[in-house]
Amino acid sequence: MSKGWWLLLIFIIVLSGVLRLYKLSDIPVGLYADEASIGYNAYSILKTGRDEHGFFFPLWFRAFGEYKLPVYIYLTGISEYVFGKNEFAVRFSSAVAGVLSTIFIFFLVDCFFSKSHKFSLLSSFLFSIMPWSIQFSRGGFEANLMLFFILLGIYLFVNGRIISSFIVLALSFYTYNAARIITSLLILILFFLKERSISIKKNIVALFILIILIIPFLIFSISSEGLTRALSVNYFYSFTPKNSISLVRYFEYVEGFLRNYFQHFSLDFLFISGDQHGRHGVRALGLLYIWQIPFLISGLSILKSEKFLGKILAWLLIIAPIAAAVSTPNPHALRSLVLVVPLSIIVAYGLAKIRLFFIKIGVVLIAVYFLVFYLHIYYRHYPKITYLDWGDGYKKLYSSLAKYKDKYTKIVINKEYPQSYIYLLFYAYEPERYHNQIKRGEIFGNYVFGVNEQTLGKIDKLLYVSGPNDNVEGRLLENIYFIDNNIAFKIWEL
Amino acid sequence: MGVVAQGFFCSTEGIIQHIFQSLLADITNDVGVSFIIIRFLHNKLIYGLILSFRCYLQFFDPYVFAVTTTSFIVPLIYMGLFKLAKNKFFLLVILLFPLFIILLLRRIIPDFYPILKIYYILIALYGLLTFLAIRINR
Repeated sequence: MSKGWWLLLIFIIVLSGVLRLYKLSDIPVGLYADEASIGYNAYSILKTGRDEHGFFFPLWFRAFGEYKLPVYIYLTGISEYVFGKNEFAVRFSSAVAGVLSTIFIFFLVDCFFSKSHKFSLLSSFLFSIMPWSIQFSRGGFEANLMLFFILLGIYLFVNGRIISSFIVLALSFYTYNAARIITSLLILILFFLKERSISIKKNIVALFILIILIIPFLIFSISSEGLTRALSVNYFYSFTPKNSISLVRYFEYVEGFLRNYFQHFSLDFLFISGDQHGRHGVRALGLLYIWQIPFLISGLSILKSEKFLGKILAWLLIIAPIAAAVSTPNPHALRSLVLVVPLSIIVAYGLAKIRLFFIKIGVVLIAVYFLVFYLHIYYRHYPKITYLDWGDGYKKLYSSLAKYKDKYTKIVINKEYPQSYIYLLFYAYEPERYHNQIKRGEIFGNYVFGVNEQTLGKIDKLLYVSGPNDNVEGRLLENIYFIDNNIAFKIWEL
Repeated sequence: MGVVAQGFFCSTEGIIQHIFQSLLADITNDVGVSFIIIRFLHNKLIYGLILSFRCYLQFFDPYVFAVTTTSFIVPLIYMGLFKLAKNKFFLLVILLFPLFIILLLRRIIPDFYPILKIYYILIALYGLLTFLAIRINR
């Protein structure tokens, strides 16, 4: 590769890094409960070797009645060792996974189109600026790490390093739950499509290593703990068929699944509105840019290509939304995140076909306009419209409560905020102290969670944290505000 | 766009109303931002184009196909559309049909839904014939 191409690749990597790391602590505003849980468990492991519940280097982390997978949490432990316990450290692994994915998309495409690096660089560039990828690289989302492992796994497989590939793909099982479906299917597909040049002995060894590596996961998956999350979001559990005849009922289930599945290819979902969940998109724009539609259609011809890349992209398109389609709610940008890889490459293929200079200039101008538009929405609008989804206010709350905690016998947090204990742990508790208090049966010291003021009875020197609309008989000490200056919490002396 | 339109198959009046709602919501969020940037990013032209495009795209949306007909025939509708699009005349018909519905049909027949359903089913039937022809030729 010539110096010019390398410089372009470096530019894309830097751009990808800037888009994912700039103001990472502040935007999205706050930490959502799962991020706080990941952050605290990672810190607890780092300091004591035990998780929030006192388990020594666990493989599964209990959190909010479910179990989290370990890879992201242990990686966060490393970033917290370097950066300290803060928002940046919690999101750092995901952001780095986003940058590394940008690089490996280049290398993956370049394996097949190495004569001119234009297509590889375009794929990498489009991935780096894709709202879908930026969104999930800037939060503590395990799915983004899974995406990187899947990409790396495919890249290694394509290069004949089948054993390394399966080790990396095995890691994805321990990263994000959707990998149960996506990676399992991907491994089958890779085997089906594989080059005949890879020796049978190597295949058997790779398969053996893969099975050994995922045995703990398989055992966990079929246990009641492992099934908790899968069952709680399972579409078929929540779906009630209208018909009682069994054959028609099955028909309805399949119809419902397909409807969920096709929602992930909805043009409105992909290009205009995106995922309306506040943590999954900026709401005002799609997951891809609207200007990419003609190039997506034009780039679809890559799927008919005889090259392995075309086949693997086609299969990725087919399998990526399955995990999201069998769960609720739908459509789900996080569970179908793998779609961003084939879509970026297909759009890049369409773009690479442009021959006329003035069209190229036009596309560049439109692309820059929409990138600026997206960044403006992301940095200016997004924090103000989704702060509730991101747990804004808790940091300020616990920093304020720290002033009062020694003056009151009890600090009670309203039961409307059942997960707020994790923010106390993340922002205001050292793991050693917490573990010692658990041993003494005190748990959170003088903090009490999950009750309201009516059930408390008479306690002297009581501090009570209520929601913004509650009026309590007592003296209002302080209001805690959201980023848009609405009241998040009220602190009362009762 | 700050406010997202609900439901399928928008009207021109709906789009115009939506442009102003969205602009108002978005500009309100931009307190303290330079006037030039606001005008550059939040303007009627861009919002109108995006919202009109959104409205137009609904007629090619797999989810809309699934809801209007049944999920089982969505691949056949696409197969039919792609096959028809190879003929310039039919390509023009396919591209203009949404405009015919948005600008004309929904004014004449407010409940145009069954017509759309028939349109999609016919395309799916063509897709099925194409599929069968390919299978037989193999």
